[in-house]
Amino acid sequence: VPENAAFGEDAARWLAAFAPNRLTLAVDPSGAVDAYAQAARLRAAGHSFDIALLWPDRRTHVAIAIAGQSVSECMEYDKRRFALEAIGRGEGEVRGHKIETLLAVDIATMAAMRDLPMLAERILVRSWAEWRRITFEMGFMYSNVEVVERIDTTIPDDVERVASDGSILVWAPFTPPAKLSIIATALRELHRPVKYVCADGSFPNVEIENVALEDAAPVLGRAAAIVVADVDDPAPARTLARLGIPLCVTVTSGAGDYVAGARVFQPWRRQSVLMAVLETLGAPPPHARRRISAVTPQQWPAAVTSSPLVSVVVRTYDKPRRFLERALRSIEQQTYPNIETIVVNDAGPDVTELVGSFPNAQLITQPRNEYRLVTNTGMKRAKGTYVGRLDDDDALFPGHVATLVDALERSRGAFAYCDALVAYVTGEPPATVGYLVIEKEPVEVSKMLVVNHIVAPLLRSLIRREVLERAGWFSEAIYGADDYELLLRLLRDYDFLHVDRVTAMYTQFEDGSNLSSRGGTEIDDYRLIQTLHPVGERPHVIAARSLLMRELERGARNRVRRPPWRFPQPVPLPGYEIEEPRRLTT
Amino acid sequence: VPSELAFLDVNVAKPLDALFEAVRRRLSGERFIMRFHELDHPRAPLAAREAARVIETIADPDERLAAFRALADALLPGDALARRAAPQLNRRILQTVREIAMLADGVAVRSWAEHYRFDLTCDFTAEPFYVDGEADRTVPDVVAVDVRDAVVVWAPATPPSALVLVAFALEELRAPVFIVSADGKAPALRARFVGYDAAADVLARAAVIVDPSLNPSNAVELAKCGVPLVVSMSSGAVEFLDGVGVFTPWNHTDLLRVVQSAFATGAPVPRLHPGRHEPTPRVWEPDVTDGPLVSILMRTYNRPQSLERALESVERQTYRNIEVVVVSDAGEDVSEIVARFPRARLVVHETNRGAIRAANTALYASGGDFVGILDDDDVLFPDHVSTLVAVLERSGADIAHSDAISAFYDVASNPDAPYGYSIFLNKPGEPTDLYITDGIGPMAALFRRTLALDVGGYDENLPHCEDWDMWIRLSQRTDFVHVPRVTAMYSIRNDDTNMMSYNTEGFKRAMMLLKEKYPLDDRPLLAQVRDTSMGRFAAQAGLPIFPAPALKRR
Repeated sequence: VPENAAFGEDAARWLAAFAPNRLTLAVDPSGAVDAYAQAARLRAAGHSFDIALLWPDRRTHVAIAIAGQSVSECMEYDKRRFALEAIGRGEGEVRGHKIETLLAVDIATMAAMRDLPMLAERILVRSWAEWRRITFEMGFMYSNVEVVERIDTTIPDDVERVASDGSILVWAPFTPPAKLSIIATALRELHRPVKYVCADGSFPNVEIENVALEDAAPVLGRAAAIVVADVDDPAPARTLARLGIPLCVTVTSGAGDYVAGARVFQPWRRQSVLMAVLETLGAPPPHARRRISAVTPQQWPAAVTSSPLVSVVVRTYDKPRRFLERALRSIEQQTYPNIETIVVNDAGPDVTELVGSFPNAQLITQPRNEYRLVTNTGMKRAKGTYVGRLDDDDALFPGHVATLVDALERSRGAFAYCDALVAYVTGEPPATVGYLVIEKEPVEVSKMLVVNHIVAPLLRSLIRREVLERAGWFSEAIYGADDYELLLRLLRDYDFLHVDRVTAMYTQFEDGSNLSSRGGTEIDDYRLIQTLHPVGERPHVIAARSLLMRELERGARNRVRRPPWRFPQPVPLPGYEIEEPRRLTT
Repeated sequence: VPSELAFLDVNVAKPLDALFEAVRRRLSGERFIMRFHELDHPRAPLAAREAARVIETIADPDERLAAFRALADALLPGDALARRAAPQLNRRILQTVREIAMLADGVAVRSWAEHYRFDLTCDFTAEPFYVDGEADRTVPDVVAVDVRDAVVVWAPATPPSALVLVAFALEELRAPVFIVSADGKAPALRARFVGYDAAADVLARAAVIVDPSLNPSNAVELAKCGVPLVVSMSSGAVEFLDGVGVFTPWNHTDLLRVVQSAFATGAPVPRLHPGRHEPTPRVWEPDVTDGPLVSILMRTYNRPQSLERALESVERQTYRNIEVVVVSDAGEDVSEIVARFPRARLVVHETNRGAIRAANTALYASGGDFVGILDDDDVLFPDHVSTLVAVLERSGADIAHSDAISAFYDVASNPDAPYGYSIFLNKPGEPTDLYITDGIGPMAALFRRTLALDVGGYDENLPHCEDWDMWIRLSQRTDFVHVPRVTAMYSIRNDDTNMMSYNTEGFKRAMMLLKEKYPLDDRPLLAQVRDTSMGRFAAQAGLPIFPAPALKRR
């Protein structure tokens, strides 16, 4: 049974403080790549989980880093002050790097942070501000989001409020002093005592009074105002608000959404910090905003309950037998109860024994190697209301069929497709060197007329069988792009439904030995498809088509076989290393 | 504590009226929450307008597509051109809206998204005031028909011309598309525009509902149809409903993707903790009406009418324990006027000794724990003293200051009514910064009288800027507590009769004297920055150096 796991230091702290009641992976950028490998493993094994994404406000962290550098290099206070003013305006550099270049996160982390939410059931965030950060950086507006509120348990609960000594307390128990240089420089302008609860370390060029966390309670009780330095997490501010001491909080943490009456500052601007502190000194105590429910729940339509038969046609040829076993097992593990499997062997090595060990699977062996006929051979045998196709080197996640049937039954649609995770593999036994969730794009007819922008469409979809029959099955003249050609025919009459969920896994061999790229050439396929699907009076589409053909002729448009980023160490291909070998009948 | 909330609605096309109304209310002691719901992401209305233009001028479907893709990627034909056309992006309007927000007690918002957008667009962190909204039009109860096959766009308050981008995005679909819109000419697209009377019929057929509005209450109402729902990210409806699709309003591809995904999903579910906050009644902080004696120091010279107005504004203070010390600098006799105000007493200079000596006379004659200065052409809002005393008491500080709004008068055309307002006297009292500029309203502070005496009162060697000099000396001794709230009004007249006229030679001389007085020998970098800054002022001979009002009343 998988357990909650944290990837990265901040994530570990979050998870320790917040005990989620569902399987949760807590991830911050430092652990994102490892989390990706784990997430893919879990999904392939049929677990669903939530992802707590701790996504820092990068702009602020870069400004803080540069400020720390500037402050340690400037002995003179005024020089420091003016250097920080420049950083507040978005100027400044550190060791010759401009702020914009420092904002960049390595591509592996970025890819992992982008894809992780798509593998998760729910995304847990600490505030709407964080949700905003994530969706803006990743370009998707996720709605399966939950704002998780928590109480910060590191804040002492034995604070006794006594007469204030006029002091300012900067609350940053896990932040090293070097990262507080903007705040420290701002508060140098004050006459009153300033105390810090921060991590160990020394302030460059500044003497400060650092109070240990365990001694913080009496200092808190006497403070006139608290500066909550956390840039990303609203929990410290929410919890400190209980003390009834005036607070100022960062705008990036989203704490202002929980705490009314707290002054909000821009943590990258020295002047904003000082202004907020001067305003906080005379402010009334903060109070928690009370929350109410939006609407009364209504009677929602019941979920789909019928389970029509689904047929999955599995194509196999000459991949190591374990791939086929992995594919068939991924069908067997479907949560959906009513599936028949039709394995079509394209005159490859004998798999009778293996297929026989899966009770719902039947085998058709083609007498001759004829790749273009395989799919129709299987499809015409299928009895299901819905049909799908799986190549032996790919795999489905356990909820795949159920999710798609649900979508099709709800909408009475003809064709529904989900998202897929691409695993880039190499070697034997195959090792995964990188993952990628295929770009989410809607099906647009004008684009489809030029090129298929839905990668591996059949792996990801179910088709209503009567629709397929009416459309005239698959073309037997086309090799690898037979799926694309079918889509073009279906698109004339039907809307494609997209299921915003990753439920299948495409295996991309770095040497290009995918089953789906056997036989024929892309250029011949496209030439034929362009003839079969003329576009009439659309000069722009015609131009784009010829451009594509020229690229294909030049060999310029090669399939991308390499991942855009790589794991530092390859990870096993989920489902391939089968722990218990299947007992075969003899 | 008012039992009911007062709102001030701001019309994006005419924000100046709201600003004048805001000042009027504050002058008469009324509090209000600003309501401004028209603010979309700046790119959204821009894209909507451009979309309408594309459909009208471009016929080729692929060229249209290219134009819409450019819109999605923000490659507008000249962003600057589009910006001029977009009222939401007008800097002057935004500044005016920000100034109204500064006069208000908070800004009404319907969602976190709206709050965030306000913050970002106006560059001002207002206290958000979460309110329950109402749907633009009631969503009719519908009896679902057997076949739900249509996409219904719900925009009963929006004219078709503003919905072109939405209609275009849905061109790709095979499903019927109905758009419930306000009246207007429908664009030549496949979608069918229908009126509100047909709403029940088309909603009954809806397989997916699209809500492109800015109002989250629309989505909350639409959720009752039990059909998948797609909302604009601008409305923040996702904060109230779980399981809705969210699209970027200027990106047609994104809308299409989300609608295609929505077909397959279930109905949205209300969130139990949706991020909406308890809205009413707001408990105002009660006015502090009693406490330490506060002395208001006033100097007057030959302007009895102004004096009377200023005295009245002190009389209207909700705070009771106030004395006013009026020093008449050997001008017209004002004893009759002063006698009408029981809290005021008059000290008369036999000869004209200048404004600064008059200030010291008032300071020495006063007896309050805290003192503030009020020139006869400036005005205090009724809650000024009460606000500052509350802050001084709470913080134990020696000085607290609020923000001041400046009223601009054109003496030649209308000396009695201002033509515009601007808020720039709202800077914190930062010691280092005070050596360079003064951003504190002269009347906006109350400070401990004993401390003012300790630092030697006002400097009589200066021709001007004695308050600035006082801030510098006070800031060397104590922290300035700032109240981010406008509580006073500063008058700026273009006839040089300001008691604090920045445009005179006297002001320049005062700056030079301040430089000599505070040579900053131990802070050479700061001295250099000050030289540059003051040099810039000196070079602007005869020109107004005030930030002018963003919008002017004719």
